[in-house]
Amino acid sequence: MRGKGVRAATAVAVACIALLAALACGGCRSEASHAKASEDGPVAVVLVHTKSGSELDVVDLSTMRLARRVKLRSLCLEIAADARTRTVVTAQCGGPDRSADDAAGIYRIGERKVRYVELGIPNPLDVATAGGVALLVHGFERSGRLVTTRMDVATQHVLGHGSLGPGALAPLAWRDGFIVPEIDVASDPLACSLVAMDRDGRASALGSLDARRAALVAPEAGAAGPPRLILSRASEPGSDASWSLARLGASGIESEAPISALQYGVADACMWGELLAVADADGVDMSDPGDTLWVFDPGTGEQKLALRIAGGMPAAVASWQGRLLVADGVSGDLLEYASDGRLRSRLKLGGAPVGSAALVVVP
Amino acid sequence: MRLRLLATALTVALTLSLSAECYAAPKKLGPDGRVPAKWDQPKPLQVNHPDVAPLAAGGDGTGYNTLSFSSFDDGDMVVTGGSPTGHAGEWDERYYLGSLADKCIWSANTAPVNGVQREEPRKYRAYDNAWGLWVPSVSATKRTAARSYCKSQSGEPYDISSSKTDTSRWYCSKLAWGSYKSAAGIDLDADGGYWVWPIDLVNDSQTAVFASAK
Repeated sequence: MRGKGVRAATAVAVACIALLAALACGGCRSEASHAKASEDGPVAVVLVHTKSGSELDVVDLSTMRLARRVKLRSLCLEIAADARTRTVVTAQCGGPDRSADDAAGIYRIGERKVRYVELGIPNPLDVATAGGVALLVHGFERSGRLVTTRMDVATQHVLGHGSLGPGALAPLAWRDGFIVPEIDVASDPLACSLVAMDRDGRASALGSLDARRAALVAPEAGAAGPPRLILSRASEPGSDASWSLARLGASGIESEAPISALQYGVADACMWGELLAVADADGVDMSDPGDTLWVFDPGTGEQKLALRIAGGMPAAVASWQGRLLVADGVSGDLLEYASDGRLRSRLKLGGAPVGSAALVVVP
Repeated sequence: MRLRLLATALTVALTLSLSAECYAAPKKLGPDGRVPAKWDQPKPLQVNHPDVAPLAAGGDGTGYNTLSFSSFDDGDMVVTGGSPTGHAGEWDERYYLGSLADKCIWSANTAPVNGVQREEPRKYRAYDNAWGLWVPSVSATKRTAARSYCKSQSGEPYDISSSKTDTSRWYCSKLAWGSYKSAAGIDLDADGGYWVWPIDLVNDSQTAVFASAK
C-alpha cells in the first residue's frame, strides 16, 4: 500500500517536472517542431565534428528538425553549397598517414551517401562554389604557391589545377568566379590584397587593400548583391579604430564604414537580411573562445544588435528569410534567432567542443 | 607545512632554472619579463615503444581535444595522441593570423600525392589528446630557423621508412625532429633508434610542455 503511494507520488512528480520542462523550453522551440523533417525544401547543412569523425547534419529549415545525418569518410574542415543542384561539396583533408585524404565529397540533398572525387592533390582545406564549379584550396605548395583544384559539381570531374599565393585565405563566389584574399606574409606589417579567379582558373590581381586582414561575406543564400568585406588594420584583435565594413564593386572597394573593435576576430560572418552579422570569436583558447555576435548596418557600420551566446561560441553563421542560424562551437548545437534577436530554437547535434564548424543554407 | 615549503621551493627552483637556461619567445614571457613555470607542465608517463615504423601513424582523425593555440610561437611543436603513434607538426607564426583555419603548421603526410605540407590548428583538435612543445634551450632565432627548415622541405615526399640521415624524405615527427637537428644541432628523439615517433618529441628531456589537453 505504501509502495503504491510512493509510486503514485513519484509518477505525479515526474509528470510535473516534465510539464515544467516543457513550459520552460516552450519559449525557445520552433513553432513547427512537431512536424516531420523533410529535405525537399530549404535546408541547413552543418559540418559537425563528433567523437567518431566528421558528419553532415541536414536540418529542415521549415521545422528546424534534423532530417538526416551523413557520415563523411575522413576528417573534413570546410563545406560549400551549390544551390542550383542542391549539392554540398566537402573538402576532405583527412587525418595523417593512412587516413590522409585528397578528395572532394559530393553530397546531393536527400541522398543517403556521399560520392567522392579524387583530386590528385592532398589536403584540400577550403572550398567555395560558383556557377557549378567548386574551387578547392589545398594546404600543399608547388613552387611556393598553394595548389588549387577546380571541379565541375554536376559531372564530378576535375577541371584542372592552379595556384594561389602562399598566404591565400578562404575563397568566395564572386561575379561568376571566385575572389580570394591573400596575405603577403613577407611584408611587415602584413599586407592584404584581393585576387580574382575565373571558373577557368585564370587568376588576376584586384589590387591591394589598406588592411592587414580581410574576411569576405557572401550575400544571403539565393539573394543577389555585392560581397562585403570586413577589414582589419589592427596588429591584434581588440585594437580600437581599426575595423571597418566595405562594399566590393566592379572597380574595387566602393564604400567603407568603421565599426567597433572586434575582440577576437572574425570566426564567420553573413548577411542577415539587410544587416551583417559577425561572429566575434576565434576558438583558439576554448576557455575563452569568444561568445558574441555583433549585428551591424553594413552601410553605416552602426551596431544594431549584440547577441551573446552564454557558455558558447558562434563558430559558423548563415541566414535564411530573416532567421539567423548559428553553429555553436562549444555545445555543438544549432541555434536559430528571429529577426529581433530572440532565440527561437536550439537543436542538439552532438558536436564536440572543438571551436570550429561550418554551416551552409541550401534554399 | 613541510610539504608546502617543499612545493614552493620546487616551483621557485623550476622558475629560476627555466629563466636561467631558456630563450623565450614573446608569447611565453610573463609580465615581469620572465618565463613562468606554467610553460613547463608535467609530461605524460613515458611508455616504451618498439623501434619500428609507426605504421598507423596518427590514427584516423577521430576523437577530440581542446588544446589552446594562444601561446604557440615560431618553431613550437604540436603533437597529438590517442592513437597508436600520434601526429606531429611545427608552428609557422608567419602564417598564423589568429584563426584556427590558418594554414600555419608544417607537417608531412601521405596519400596519394604525398609530401611536406601545411595544416590548420583545428585539424589537431580532432584527436583524443594533444600537447604544445617548445625547446627552452634553443634561441628564438634558431627556433625560427627550425621552422624555416620545415618550409624548405615543402613538397618533398613522405616516406615512413626513411632513415634519419635521409633529408629528402619525411614523415610527420621526423620533419620536426630534423628541423631542430639541422637548425640547432640537437637530437629530440628521447629513445634514439631508427625511427622518431611523435611521442618521442614529448618524452625528450629537452622539450617542455606549455599546453596540453584531452
